[in-house]
Amino acid sequence: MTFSQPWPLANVDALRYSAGVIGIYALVSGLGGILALASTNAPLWATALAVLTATVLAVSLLGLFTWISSWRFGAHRTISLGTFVVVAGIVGAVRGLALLTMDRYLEINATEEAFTQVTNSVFSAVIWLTLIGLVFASKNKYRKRYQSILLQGAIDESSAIVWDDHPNVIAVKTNVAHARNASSEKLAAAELSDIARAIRDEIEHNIRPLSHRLWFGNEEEVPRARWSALVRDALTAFTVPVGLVSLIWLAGTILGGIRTFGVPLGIAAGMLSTLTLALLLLSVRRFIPRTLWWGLFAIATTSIISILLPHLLLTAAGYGQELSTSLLLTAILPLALAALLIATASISLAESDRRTVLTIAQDRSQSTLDRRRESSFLHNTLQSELTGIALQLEQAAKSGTREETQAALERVDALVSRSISEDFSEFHQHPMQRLHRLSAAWKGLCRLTVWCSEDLHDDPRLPAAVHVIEEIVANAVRHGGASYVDVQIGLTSDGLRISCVSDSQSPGSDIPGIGQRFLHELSPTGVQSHQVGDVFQTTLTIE
Amino acid sequence: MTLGKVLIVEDEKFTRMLVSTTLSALGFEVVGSCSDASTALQIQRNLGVEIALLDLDLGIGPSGIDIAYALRRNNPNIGIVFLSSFSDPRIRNSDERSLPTGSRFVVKGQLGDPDQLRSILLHTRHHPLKVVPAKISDLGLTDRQIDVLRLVAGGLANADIAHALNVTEKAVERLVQRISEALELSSVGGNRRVHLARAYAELAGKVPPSP
Repeated sequence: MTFSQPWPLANVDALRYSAGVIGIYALVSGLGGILALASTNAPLWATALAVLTATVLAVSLLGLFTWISSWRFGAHRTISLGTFVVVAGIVGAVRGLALLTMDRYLEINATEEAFTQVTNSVFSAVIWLTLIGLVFASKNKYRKRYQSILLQGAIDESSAIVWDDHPNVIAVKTNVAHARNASSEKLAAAELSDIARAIRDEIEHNIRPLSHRLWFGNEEEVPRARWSALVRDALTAFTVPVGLVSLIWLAGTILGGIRTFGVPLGIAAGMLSTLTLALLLLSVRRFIPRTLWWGLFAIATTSIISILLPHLLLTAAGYGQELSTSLLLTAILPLALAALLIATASISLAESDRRTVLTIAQDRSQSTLDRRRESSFLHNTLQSELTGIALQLEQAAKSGTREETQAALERVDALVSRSISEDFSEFHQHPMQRLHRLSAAWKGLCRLTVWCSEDLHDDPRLPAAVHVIEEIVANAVRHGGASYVDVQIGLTSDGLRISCVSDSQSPGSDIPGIGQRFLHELSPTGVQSHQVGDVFQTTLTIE
Repeated sequence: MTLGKVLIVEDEKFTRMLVSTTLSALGFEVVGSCSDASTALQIQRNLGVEIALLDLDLGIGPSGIDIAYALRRNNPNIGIVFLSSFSDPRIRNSDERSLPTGSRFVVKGQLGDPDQLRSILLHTRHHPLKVVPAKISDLGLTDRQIDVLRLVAGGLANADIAHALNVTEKAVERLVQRISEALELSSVGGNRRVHLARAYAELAGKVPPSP
């Protein structure tokens, strides 16, 4: 089992144009337009009109896109990264063209070159919509989608564990066995205490962390996760893929370079700048301590150096111009980059928080329940047993009673020779086994009988059926005082049909509780209940 | 002469053993300990039980409350004490029946002294049906708020909770706000739902072991 940190930007594929994204983009686009046009001597109304027209057009296009995707797919549509970049590019291009047209039409004279105006708008739209989208993607609204993706990951991880081969389990067995063998001949009190201490160490260093990891799914997901740690990782541990950052950087610097040095030298400057950035980031990774502020400083410094170095080199070679205001403004880009990293880190945090919620919660997924049962087994059963043995050994060390010592050592022996996998198999029960267990658990309070054809034992809907039966039996006993529940599971053309007959007196309150709602959710065709004399019948079908 | 015949129903073997040893040391006669309903009822029938000490959550099947009702049906004067990690039985399941009359609810984490347990058991034995003002309302949460808290901890969005409880999303937002205020989480920074989920885990005694 490996515990690797997930790639935070995997969430990018879930970026969507929500009202919030569109609103913030409108603000950014408007402010950007004002900054671009405000330096001219044009009347204020002309500048405002130009900016307003361009912004309205861009935002309308985003709105139209959202409306089309909602209409086409009937719901909020997840956008792939490829679609996202294309749409953002189109929006930016429309904004740039509108700004350019208005500029010419109103004679503002702010833009010298049409190409630069449009490409700047495209670049700005892609960068800003990415940033805004990333921040929005971390909000609760999108949690559900991540939940399904990550839950599946957690399930795969958990199901891949071969327990008896697990290093932690082997370590527990080996060390306890060594401790036992080492002291089997001489049973001095000090040695017994040592064994007890060894067992406690195993609990502390192996069983408890393993139990914890199973519970939370990943070491990184513990609630102690902090902003600073995540930002620090994002900055210096390269959790954020350098590739994506470099691509954005390359696009930006080539655009800036073309503006300053012309096309061929601009491309060369952009490539040189990106190479410098990548090399500096690698150096930063190796030499800068993994702390938040140093990380931020390092990113900002390397970004500025990456811009200034190519400029200075080209200027010294006689190709460049004086350091202009526009170039200094371009240096603001590092801030955008830092914002990107921080936004990404915030997604990691949201993801970590979400996992915490998920793992603490009583999730309805059977596999998650299994994972939690495994954790519970380690924590409650194995750890409890070891603690019990340690206590017994300590007691034996104090009292010096041979019988007590022997009993404790026999328990250790039994524990280390036992197959952990077999113990775990109890927790991975087949639905039919679970039904038998359910029947046994209610014995004495309610007689539960289940008929299920053998053909249905491997039906994928059976686990859900077991949940339904658990719910029905609990309701029948608690709210209807049932003394028996007979359940029949059969197959119909509509799905798996569950029919329950009991002597329950009442279906419960008129307002359905959460359990009842759960039944209704599982059975879209509805739950039919009838009281005929002393017999209460509930029928539902799982599709 | 013992202080009373006690039945322990607890699904955790180690806790069962520990409680059994403690009660014996305190002077009670532990007539049996088990983790399931049928054995509990059998022990009651064959050995006679004056006080039942039950865990609330027994895993799959009936809860401690279900078993308590069955024990009470057989012997209306049996003293019932619940020993649970849940700080409020409603946290486990609000669809559950209310605790049987006169039963006492003890939170494991708040039990600092074995003598405390002895007094509770003795009081329950002598006054099995006497209603003792419960301290479980200390949370200051209504049943509906606890439902919402459990669902928030389940990772459900407000819209899903609204659907599950048949209320509007706005109502859920208000409930979440009130729960945060009641649990003093409204001014805590970070993701509120995570804080609520953690609060739920703590209330349910489900906080996993510290790393």
